[in-house]
Amino acid sequence: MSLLNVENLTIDIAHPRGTLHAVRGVSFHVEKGETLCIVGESGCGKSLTSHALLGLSPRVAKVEAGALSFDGTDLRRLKERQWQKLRGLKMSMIFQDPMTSLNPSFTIGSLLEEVYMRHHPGGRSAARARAIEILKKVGMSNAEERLHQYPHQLSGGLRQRVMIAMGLICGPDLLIADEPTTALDVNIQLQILRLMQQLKEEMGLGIIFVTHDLGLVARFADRVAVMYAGRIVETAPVAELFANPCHPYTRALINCIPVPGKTRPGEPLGAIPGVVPSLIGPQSGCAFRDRCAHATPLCARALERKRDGAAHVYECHYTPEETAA
Amino acid sequence: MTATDISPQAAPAIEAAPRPASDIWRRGRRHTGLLIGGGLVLMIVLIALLAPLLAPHDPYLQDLNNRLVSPIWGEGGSWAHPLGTDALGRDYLSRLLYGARISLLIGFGATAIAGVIGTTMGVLAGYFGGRIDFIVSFIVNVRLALPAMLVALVVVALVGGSLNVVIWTLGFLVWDRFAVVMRAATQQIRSLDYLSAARAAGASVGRILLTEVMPNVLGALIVVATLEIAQAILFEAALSFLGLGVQPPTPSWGLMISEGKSHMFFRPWVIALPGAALFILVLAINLLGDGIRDVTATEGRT
Amino acid sequence: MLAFALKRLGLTLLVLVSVSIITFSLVRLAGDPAIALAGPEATSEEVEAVRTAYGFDRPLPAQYATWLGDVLKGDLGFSNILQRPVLEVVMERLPVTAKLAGLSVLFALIIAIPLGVVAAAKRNTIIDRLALSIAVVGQALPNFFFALVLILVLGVGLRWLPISGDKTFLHYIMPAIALGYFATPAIMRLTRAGMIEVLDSDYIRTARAMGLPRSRVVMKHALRNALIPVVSLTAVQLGFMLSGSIIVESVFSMNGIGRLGWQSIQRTDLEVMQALVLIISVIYLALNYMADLLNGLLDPRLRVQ
Repeated sequence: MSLLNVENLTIDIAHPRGTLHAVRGVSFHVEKGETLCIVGESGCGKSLTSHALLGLSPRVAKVEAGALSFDGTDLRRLKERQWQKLRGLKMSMIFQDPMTSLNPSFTIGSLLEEVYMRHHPGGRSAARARAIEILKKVGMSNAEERLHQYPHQLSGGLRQRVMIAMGLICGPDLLIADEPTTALDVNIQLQILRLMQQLKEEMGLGIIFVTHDLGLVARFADRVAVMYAGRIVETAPVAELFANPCHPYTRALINCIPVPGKTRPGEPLGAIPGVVPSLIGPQSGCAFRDRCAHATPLCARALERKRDGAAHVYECHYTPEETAA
Repeated sequence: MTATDISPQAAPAIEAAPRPASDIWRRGRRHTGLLIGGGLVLMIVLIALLAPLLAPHDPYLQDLNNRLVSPIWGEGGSWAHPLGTDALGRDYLSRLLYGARISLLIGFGATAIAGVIGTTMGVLAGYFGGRIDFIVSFIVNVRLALPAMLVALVVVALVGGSLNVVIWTLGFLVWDRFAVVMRAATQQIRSLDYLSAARAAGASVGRILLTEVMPNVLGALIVVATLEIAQAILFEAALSFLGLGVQPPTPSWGLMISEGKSHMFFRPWVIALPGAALFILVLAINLLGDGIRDVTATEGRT
Repeated sequence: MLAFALKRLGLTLLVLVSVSIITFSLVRLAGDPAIALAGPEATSEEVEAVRTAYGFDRPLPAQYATWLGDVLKGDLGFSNILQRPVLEVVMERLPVTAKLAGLSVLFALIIAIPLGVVAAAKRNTIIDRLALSIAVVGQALPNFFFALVLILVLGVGLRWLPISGDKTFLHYIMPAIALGYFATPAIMRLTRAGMIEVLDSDYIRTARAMGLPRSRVVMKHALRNALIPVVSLTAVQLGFMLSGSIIVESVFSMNGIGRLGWQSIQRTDLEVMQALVLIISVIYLALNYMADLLNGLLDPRLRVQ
């Protein structure tokens, strides 16, 4: 049984011009000790999806799913109170901007201790010990002193480490990271990613890593789900995806990454022509067809999932051979 | 009564490009508060202008045989005095109608003076920044430290109460919000690109202030002015209530409440009527001001 | 933080000096104080006698220097009308006003903060609209009129509360409501705006993602940050209440400094008037200064700068 299993998740948002179908039936699963990357352009629904997994959807969003289970618990039936017991303890989430995601009025120590004590009734001293332990674990020197510092006294990279420490202090099974490195400098990005990789191995964490950066995906994912316009258009193990992308959109994305040693200076990178379609109102067929070089009238018909090997699923009317340029 | 609202909402949002007039008009027509407030203000302004035609009696004419007559709905009320008479037998409706003139005159007069002082200071501070900004902020702080009500009372007591004295005193006391809001608005405009362009093109400071800055802070100015008119009206009413504003027998609503105070236990309407008039006028002006702020503000602000 | 505190203190003192000059000139320049003191029936010889006796014939800067020197020594002058030192009179009256202003602010906060928090949490619902409407209505109600209405309803009609004087705690309830409600709309709006901003912030989302209960998120993580600007506003409002106490104390016949101010104006007691303007300014500035320091303590980001 998967740690997290999502089937046919839809998220609708009421909009003055009609219902906005932001997420249109996505299915995926995450195993213990596995990193699933959800990659896509901004607005493709990847953040909404990740928030829905923790019951943190905005109030205006209507979330439905054929199945939504975590470690044997049916998340669809949870009341807010039960969600609260799950969040932080069994599954945690960290966010994009460490500058604004930590409450400026509290010390690092009290932020961490509060989360721990919320899920482990008992003394402050146990919480403090655990806070120091987890700060050390995320690679912060002088953990004891850090407890007394405020978020604004730390650099962006350190703050993101504190965020991760908060997420992991109760030893959850699943960590959802929503663009955790986007706001950081490139060298700090790598440090944070290595840290997450290492923690995953040490703690047997399942990680959902939401990003728009396919370059990061290549380095850190075990499996990848590519999202476009509210759908997952392709899912595959990372090596397989890069070696054998089956969906034209995936291929276009991969072509946008400069490859060191291969891409010559001045050579144009692949850019995808056109714009993302409006998500308002019903839609059938392949959402990418307006931007796809291989589109035919057939693409307006309802899609079905195709398999290319056991773990490789994609949604396109044509086979990779047919759409290969 | 003198509470200057220094909260951020007091400062209307300034946007880079002013909202197109048609857009403001479209939103304005759907804004209930704006319509109600605007309608009431318009009505009261008309009443004030037409008071001599509307009033059934001379508001100063005393009739000691008909003192404290009840309004039409009370015991002994008659159409001769639809809202009754005061302790000196003067027709209450006529006095209330003429009272609108006093309130509006003082509201507009004091705000005009305050607007000129405060806007000048605020725009200069916001445009030049640096030392001028420091001096203006300092003057604003001094003004805020002075207890406005007490200072106004002292001045009126020493100089003598008259309509003009009250208007000028209030005008010199309630400019602070103009200065604060205009300063912020000008700073915002100043940082925008088209001003730099005007400066680079060699336009003189005076010209830039008048042709580039003023038109763009006008929305904010109108909102502050509206809300300040309401404040000035309340302020005058309070001064007159304390006997140190407009002097008898002028029909000021504040003064009428003060005069009615000793009769209010048995004839509550002598304070209720001018009180309600004051309340409605101030409420209407505030609704109008809030409405203007809403329809001229950037989309999506709550 | 220390540098910040010292700089603000310097500015505050500078403002204070300016206020003292204005206060002083106000009484000298707004009409002839000698005529005012001598009374309307005085002959011109009598007026001149008063002028010399009070030193009004000396140059203004010299008069100011003498006055300021006395003030710094704690001598606020002598009231000829009351035949007592001004400071003594004021100190005797100050506790009543302090109690009134304190209760008024308390009343305002008790109403405004919960209303603002609920309005923000239930944004754009009926509750929110209702709270905003209360604010709009409250701001349009003249406080002297509201005070009279309170007297009529709670005092005369229902006979729940005494309508004049300052003897017992009950005497303070109506005046505190009449003085406090006027500050409610501003505080409520600021609380609401602050809460809306904070509730939308990333760190509130973090707190929720870590499983903290909603009540705790709102009350601890959000309110704490949303209330920082409210502290300053409350200090300002408390200052305005000292000024507003003139009306309320007069209506309810409370012997505080507000009513003292009104009485002094009526009997042209220049020394007391001048002292009161100065004292109220000093209290206002002190409150604001304290609010600034408190802000620094509440917002760790300011503390370091």
